[in-house]
Amino acid sequence: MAGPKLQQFILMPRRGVRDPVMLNPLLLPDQQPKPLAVMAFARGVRRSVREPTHQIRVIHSIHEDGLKLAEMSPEAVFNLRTTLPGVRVVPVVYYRTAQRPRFEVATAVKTAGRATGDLKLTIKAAGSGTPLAGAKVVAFTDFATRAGLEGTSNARGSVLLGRNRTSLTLDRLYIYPPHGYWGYYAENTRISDGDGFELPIIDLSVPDLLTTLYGGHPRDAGSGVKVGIIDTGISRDHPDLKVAGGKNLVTGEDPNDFGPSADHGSHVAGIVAAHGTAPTGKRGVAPGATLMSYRVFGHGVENANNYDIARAIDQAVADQCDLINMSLGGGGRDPAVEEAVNAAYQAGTLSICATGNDYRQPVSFPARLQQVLAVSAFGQRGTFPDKSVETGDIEKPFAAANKERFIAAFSNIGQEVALTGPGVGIVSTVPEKDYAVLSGTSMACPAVTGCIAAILSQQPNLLQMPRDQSRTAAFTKAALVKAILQGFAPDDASMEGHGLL
Amino acid sequence: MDFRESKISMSRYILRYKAPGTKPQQDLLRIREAAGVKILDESPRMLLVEGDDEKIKGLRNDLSDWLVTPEVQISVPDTRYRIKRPIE
Repeated sequence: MAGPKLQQFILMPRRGVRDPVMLNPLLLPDQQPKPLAVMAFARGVRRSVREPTHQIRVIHSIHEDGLKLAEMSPEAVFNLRTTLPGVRVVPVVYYRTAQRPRFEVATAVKTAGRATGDLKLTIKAAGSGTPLAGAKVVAFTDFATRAGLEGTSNARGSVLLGRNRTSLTLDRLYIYPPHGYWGYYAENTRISDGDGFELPIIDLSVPDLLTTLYGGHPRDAGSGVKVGIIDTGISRDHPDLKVAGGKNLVTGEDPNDFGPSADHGSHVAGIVAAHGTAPTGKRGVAPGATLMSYRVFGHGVENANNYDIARAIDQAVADQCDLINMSLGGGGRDPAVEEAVNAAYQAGTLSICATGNDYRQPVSFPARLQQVLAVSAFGQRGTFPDKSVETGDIEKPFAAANKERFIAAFSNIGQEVALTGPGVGIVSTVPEKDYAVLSGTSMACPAVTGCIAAILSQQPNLLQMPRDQSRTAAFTKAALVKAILQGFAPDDASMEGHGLL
Repeated sequence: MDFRESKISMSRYILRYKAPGTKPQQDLLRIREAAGVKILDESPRMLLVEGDDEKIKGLRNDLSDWLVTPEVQISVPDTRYRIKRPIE
């Protein structure tokens, strides 16, 4: 049988290049590998520390207390992170010449058969038949090239997809719902003028994946833990949300306007700490946690900049947040945000970040930073309606622990993943005192944040530690030891890291 | 699709003070007096500045305790698909 895949890593202190933490006996250069404590184990199957996957061999050391070159498996990286949280593990990177990429000609769009007339669909609420405004229909004639038509329903529930055609054969059809409803999804289908689609209403008494997993948490779960949500702002008048404070960090806007500029932040906040009760409300993972809103997306603006995000992290630390949730990210490394995240770590505040939604691409920044916990997203069949948009998110691998669970098709993955969380078909709070279903690593991230808040509220000794990096390391360890591997990919931690809390 | 990143302008930079404590007044004075560099916003640890690329990069050499990095933008995360090539 083939042995574990070993890789080379640079081991270094979290700050600077020399530190007493590097004197740990585990990090002494040696011809023989040393065993690492096993902190993660599959359901009921604890592995032996003698397994090569849980060993580390330090090949070279610049100074006794300085940088080391080590060889170990990606799985062992996670165990080292738990055993020695003060040590950064950086993959050895090899550079190559910057070869110019080749441009390719996009395939021509094939037009479907023409006919006189329009292609209109009608979107209604299931049961009542009420026309639904604001449903977005995305009809792919060729999904691979993202070719097709799209439109949004008007007050009569009518969507005009195109003129001079009355039908269309589709690879995929997505109907993204307005607040209060689930969407619709179909593959290899044909639509014709006059077709109608009915969207199921969100029934808060029917548990989604979040409630299935964490609905049994007590109302005071997370009490004593302050959670900063760096996002689009949190609704301040939703009956299920209580926002203790915050700040608008968007340069040029009123600092006191930390309410919502879009749905996203309120949805994320509700997952952490909504305190409603079904069937009239929604409960989050840690209803007792204190929510702080740090808005970095401006009104009428789709983008946030790294200056405002770094300021938001600084502000959350200044406000003594214990946890920071960042369901946001970008492709490239950004030194400003990295410095702010590092300063937060040094000040005893743990950051939890979404890995990104680029369909199994590498983990986005800032989730890829060593100082944060990166969260991938999984879903579970049976926790969303048949034919809902979430059906399109189902993709291998499935969990050994539960064959209905899958890593979401959209989730980014990689060795930086620390934990996985529920991120498919999550119902939560949105502005205008409403509820909506959203999917993404953005939803998995606050579920994990809420879980950590609930864990910490049970361990006041950790919360009372001096606000320094030891506190953050203790938070990290307290979370990771509670994780349970789901077995999405044996011997490959890139999907779920330590598993599910 | 989501989590996109794009540089909005090479003329806007973030200056972040990396050393412990507050920003040294003499550093601030040097930045304020640098010709062609305008301070747009200020926080306890950072400055958002706008100006000539070369001037700002020159500050990087003068201010060893400061991180100088371009302003970039990210979009609100979204898993919804979009049509990239509308058919006729």
